Amino acid sequence: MNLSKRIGAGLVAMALVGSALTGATPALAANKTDLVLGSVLDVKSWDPSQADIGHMAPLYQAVYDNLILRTPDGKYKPNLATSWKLNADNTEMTLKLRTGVKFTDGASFDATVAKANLDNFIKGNGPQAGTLAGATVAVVDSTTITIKLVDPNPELAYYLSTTDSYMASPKALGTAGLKTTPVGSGPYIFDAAASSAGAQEVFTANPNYWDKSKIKFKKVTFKVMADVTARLNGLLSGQIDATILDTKTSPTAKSRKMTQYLSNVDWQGLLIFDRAGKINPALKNVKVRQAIAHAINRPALLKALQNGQGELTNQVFAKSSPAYDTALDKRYPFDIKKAKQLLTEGNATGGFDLTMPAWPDPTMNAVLGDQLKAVGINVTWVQTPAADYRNALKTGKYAAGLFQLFQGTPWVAINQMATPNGSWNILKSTDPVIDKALASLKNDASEKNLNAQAKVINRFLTESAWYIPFFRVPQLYFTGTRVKTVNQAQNAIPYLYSYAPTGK
Amino acid sequence: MIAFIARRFGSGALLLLIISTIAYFLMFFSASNVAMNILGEDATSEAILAKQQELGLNLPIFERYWAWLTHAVTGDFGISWFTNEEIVETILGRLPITMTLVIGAILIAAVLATILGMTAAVKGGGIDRLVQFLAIAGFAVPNFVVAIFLVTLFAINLALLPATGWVPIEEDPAQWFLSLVLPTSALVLATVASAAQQIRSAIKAVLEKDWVRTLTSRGIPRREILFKHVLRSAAPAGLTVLSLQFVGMLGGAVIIESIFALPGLGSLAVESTSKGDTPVVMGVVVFTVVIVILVNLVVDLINGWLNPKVRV
Repeated sequence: MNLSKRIGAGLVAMALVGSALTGATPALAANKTDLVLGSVLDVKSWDPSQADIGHMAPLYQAVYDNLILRTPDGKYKPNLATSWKLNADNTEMTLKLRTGVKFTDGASFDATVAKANLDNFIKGNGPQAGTLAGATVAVVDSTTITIKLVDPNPELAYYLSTTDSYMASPKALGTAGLKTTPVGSGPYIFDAAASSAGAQEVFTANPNYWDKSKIKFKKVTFKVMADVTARLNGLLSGQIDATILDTKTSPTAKSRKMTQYLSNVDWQGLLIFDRAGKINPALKNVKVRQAIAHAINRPALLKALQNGQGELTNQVFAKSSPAYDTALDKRYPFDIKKAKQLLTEGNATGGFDLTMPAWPDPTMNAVLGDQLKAVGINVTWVQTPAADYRNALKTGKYAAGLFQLFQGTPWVAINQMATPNGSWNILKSTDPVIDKALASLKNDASEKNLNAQAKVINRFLTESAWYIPFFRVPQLYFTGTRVKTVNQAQNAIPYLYSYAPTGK
Repeated sequence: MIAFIARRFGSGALLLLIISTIAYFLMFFSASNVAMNILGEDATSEAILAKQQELGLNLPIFERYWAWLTHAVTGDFGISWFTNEEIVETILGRLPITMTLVIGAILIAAVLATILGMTAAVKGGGIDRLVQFLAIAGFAVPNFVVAIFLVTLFAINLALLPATGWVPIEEDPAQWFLSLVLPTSALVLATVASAAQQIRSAIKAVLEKDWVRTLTSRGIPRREILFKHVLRSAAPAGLTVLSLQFVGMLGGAVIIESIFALPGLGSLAVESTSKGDTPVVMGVVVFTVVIVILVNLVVDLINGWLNPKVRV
């Protein structure tokens, strides 16, 4: 027996002795009435005004009810609001509210409480407060409210089904305690004694909940596990029932018979901010931006960065979006000759220099840098701490930068990337095509026109190379053998309501 | 002895002030847009400005530092900018995890390293070479590799121990013990190797002293010489190594905490620093420095007890 085997055998013996001494079974899996989720993040504050989408959504959903429920396929269902109607110009929504709903501290839900919560969200300066900026809420009667918007928003139901309408108890609303101890009317009750911020959040089933079909577990625990290796180990050992992994850890999970739920919620690529050429004059010419798009070997990037997992794309709208155009995904094939020709036509013969913040994954910088260098574009990568990367892009001092953006609904995506004040239209670019589409939406924000204008905007963004997507990033969510779930449209991970025991 | 302790406390307080001041200003100069980190990518510039004012980030740095210092000396470290939790409460919730891990590992490492070091020094030959080999291996193999190996073998393949997580002792003592076995083992294996080597060298040096030969020639049993005299003389060197290992572990535990998803002080420090949560970082810095000062004081007192000459 060689040394390593001896050491291994010794360690096995030590563990066996330790286990035998305690006479206990290790804390492996929770029983099927418990749901344990490995969460990448914890909430920053339980005040609903500070709520955010993505990984934080299931945490808020445990304890708070939304006015409107969003199903996994993106449709809307009644929740605390039993019905709702937008007016013709999409500036005012009237909502009828459910009666008989109680918060877990005994307070009753009614129109006054709904208004107080919406006002709290609007004034709370939270991460999504801008989605209801300037809105006013009025109580019509005890079961009816109206929300009046400053600008038309045909997708107000989307926002009311995500961050904007989590309802907290009126007794807790406005108190400092709400930041750390949530009190809602949701399917689960926060267990403060068992919870620890940044470590785990524990909830027990609400025995008086108005919709028993949403409660599938007696207890729900979110274990905060920032490290992907810890999440993988927790899943494989049965300590957690579901979590998100990445392309490096997913093969191991699949080989161990874990169930994979693949979705492509985000796209990753190059964001050209400086379409006016104020920082980097070369980028003003659309042919130069198109040259960059042709210079990128997307399959090579996908293989290097995502082990080949993901979908190559040239457009920023998702396949499931009504704005999606199959032809656009073939708009910029990898073609160095064409790229050089476009550079010449765009008055950048031989290339130019481009300064960008270094993406946290050095492989990306190396591969992309080489690809652009092949057509004469020399990238200078400015080292930037990962935690500061997004802020660095937002400073507006870079002409372009790499990022991973969420593929929202048409309205969300337009407001993110195309409008002059769009959150990722950092240098506030404008264009007559975009202006015309936005003006059309202001006059007619019907679903039909929204989809039509989103298509126009999608084509423009692709043709003008405002954004140069490389691929849609695979979101690799996994469950163990005892729990199943369903992917949620436009969210990185499933909603809490989508989990159910498998019966195993 | 009282004067000795008072001097150490005085120098410790000065050290604490210097380190915390440096840390505060380092956080200031390295900090990014904290308000944007809190509010997220879609926050408006008005919202970010309002958050900056709410956090006092619009005030001059010296004014902010003075406000922090005057509150900190009263034990008020404020609340986290990100979680709104009381910082003292957060740290006291996490400290027991890290301290249990580190103290447990250092005690086990001390016993194992002493046994291995003494055996190697006294027996020589193959055992001596094995200890030296283990010392090199201990340095060469990072503790996260050891941790991943242990998890794969004991938690995933053999399903004997939990792969991740922490169970408070008051909740379930047996599960508490089991949740500590793998992370503690990962820390111990790396520590014991290097400590054994140091202890071996210290004992070997003492064994070559004239007074050891004198005691042997007087017919005093070998066991008594080793355990009563040699070990005592070699102890300061071993203690110094272990105290350094302890301080190193406080920082190094972050990797182990991350792999085992243990909500300890190390992971809190890393998360807070990367987000720019200055009040939490400062709280962690102060608590860590105090722990290091206390450990060094205890080591000095033990050394002083073992060898009165060092008290001078």
